[in-house]
Amino acid sequence: MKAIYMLLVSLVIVLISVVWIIVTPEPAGVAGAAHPVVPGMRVACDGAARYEAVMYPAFFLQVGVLAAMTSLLLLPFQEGERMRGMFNRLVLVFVLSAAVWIGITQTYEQFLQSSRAPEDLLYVAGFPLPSALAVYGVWAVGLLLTFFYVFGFGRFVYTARDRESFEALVEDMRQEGGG
Amino acid sequence: MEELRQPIILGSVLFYMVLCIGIGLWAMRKTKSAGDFFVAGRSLGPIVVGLAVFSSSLSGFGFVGGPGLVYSTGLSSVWMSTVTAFGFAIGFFLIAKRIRMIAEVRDTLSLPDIVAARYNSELARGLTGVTILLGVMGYMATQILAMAMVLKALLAATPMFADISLVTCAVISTSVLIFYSVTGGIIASVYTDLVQGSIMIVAGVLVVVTAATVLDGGMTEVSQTIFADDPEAIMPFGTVGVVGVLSWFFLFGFGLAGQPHIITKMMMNRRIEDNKIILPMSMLGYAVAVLLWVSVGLVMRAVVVGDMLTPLEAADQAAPVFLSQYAHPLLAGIVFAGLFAAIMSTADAFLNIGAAAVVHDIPKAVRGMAMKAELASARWATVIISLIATGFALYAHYGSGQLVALLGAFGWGTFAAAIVPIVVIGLNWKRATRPAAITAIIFSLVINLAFQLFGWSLPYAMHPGFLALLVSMILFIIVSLATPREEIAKDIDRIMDL
Repeated sequence: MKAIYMLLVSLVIVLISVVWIIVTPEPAGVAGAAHPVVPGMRVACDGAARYEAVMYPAFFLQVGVLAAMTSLLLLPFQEGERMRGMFNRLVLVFVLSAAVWIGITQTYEQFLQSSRAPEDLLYVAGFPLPSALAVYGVWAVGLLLTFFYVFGFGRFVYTARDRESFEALVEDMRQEGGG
Repeated sequence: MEELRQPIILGSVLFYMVLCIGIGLWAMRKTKSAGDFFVAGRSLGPIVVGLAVFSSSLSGFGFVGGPGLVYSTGLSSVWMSTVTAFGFAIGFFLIAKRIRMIAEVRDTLSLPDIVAARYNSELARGLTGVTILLGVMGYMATQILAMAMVLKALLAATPMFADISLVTCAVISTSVLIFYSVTGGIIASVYTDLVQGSIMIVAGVLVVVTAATVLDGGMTEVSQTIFADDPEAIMPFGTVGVVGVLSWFFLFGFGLAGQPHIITKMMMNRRIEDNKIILPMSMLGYAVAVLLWVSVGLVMRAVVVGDMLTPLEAADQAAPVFLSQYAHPLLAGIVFAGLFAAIMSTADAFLNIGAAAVVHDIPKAVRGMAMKAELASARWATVIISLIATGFALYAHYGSGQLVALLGAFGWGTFAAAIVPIVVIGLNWKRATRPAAITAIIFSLVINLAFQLFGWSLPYAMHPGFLALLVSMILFIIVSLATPREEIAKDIDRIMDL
């Protein structure tokens, strides 16, 4: 399937999830409430109630978003060696980012189902595990993309043949302009 | 040392402003044409462009609004910061190479030039120019107001300047901005960005180290203190909730590649190969700034809910109060200079693309040619946009803030919804058509304005800009597929094959 159709399908999945969320009745305090003591600060109210109301559409929404990002990143790599090389790498990025997302939701749901006592929480690099995954996991997968770009630049992004073709184009344009 | 805190902070900010003026004078001698003024003659090295991309993408929001948002809503805003790793990657994977190639082949000066070349449409050029100008006015006004308020807060702490007015502070800070932007154009802008980006990275690292040592147990104790007050605040979705943060993730992840002040910088590097250095440079800078944003916000929330500090008057005071309470005076001096740097680096980038829209893009779309004496006109346009934006900013403060808030909120979401489909997708998909591009731009303008004007909101704290961008992308693809295939100019077609 061409990347543009994959992108369209992913975006439609996101849109369907949005409609699903919009028609789901909102629990009280869905976007939090003012802190009872500290002005200018907000609290979350009943986090479990608002999460459980939309946990399925929110899950599919984010999977659709990650698939859309992967499809979009595939758009410039549509033929031959470029396509094969980048396809595998971008599928890896999708799998890892989906794994991080599943990790966030699973560990968060475990927290909601637990006694929610502070001693039940595992802290990783300063944050509770679900938050550590959100802070470090998302960033780490993004860094992997940068790694693929930097080290695949000459092979996939701007090859020696691209450089020759571009220099030929610049020369042609110069001659057209001069002629 | 503590008694020297105020002189050190004021001295650092003064030194920084003098440095900006010096760079403006130096850049004036290098600015000989409109090409130099708008795209630095495509002659910049990768480190300069890398730091310019990062520093202009992070406005005063990163140093003031970001920590304030974490203080107010807990970990929610982490989703708009960590996703920039994807945002920068999308920009570089999809458009950095093609934008630089089109800039060389067509001698383009602005993003609307690129849009006109891709779609062979003056209407698309004009609409993009108008969109940029509307967004720029809002952004500029918010940045000028932020500069004036920070300067007033700094000066008011010194008895000699205790009664200084906001208008005077706006005049001082805007004069520095206008001076180096008018004299040196984008060359002054990117070299001040180089200084600004370096200050922001140094300040970011030092602040993060300081923040981690405020409580004896480090960030784990910070998290535990927040947890004891409101567990959800330190959980992954914060107080905003899962749907709200995912809408930020989408908007900031896809939308970063649609910001015109960032795209314009992609035209300026000397060699296309430099992109493989520019991307990691931008990422590194942004990562450090995000660490500052998150750590300061969390520490301030923890010390307030843990009764170690009295509550702040406003969430945006999180960073300034942190600096006054916990930072060494020298560090406070560097960070306050960094704060001005962050605001000015975004403001100068917007001034430049706004001036290009006024003297180059909109006249070309309307009458087929740019203004005469383009360099001189660009300098005048820079002054006029700054003055109008300063007027908006002061009107917002003393009169009704609605107009500036409206334009500021309108800017980011509209840029994302209008520009991501037509540029990010359009430069990588030959089937994209002119009617689809025009539909996407008009839809983005209308939907974002409607949400702002009528004060509509979406359920579950969903960001309206997210919905606008999502629907705009879908519309763009469907309208392209539904309209007849169009011929693309031969040179653009060849570039899209590479």
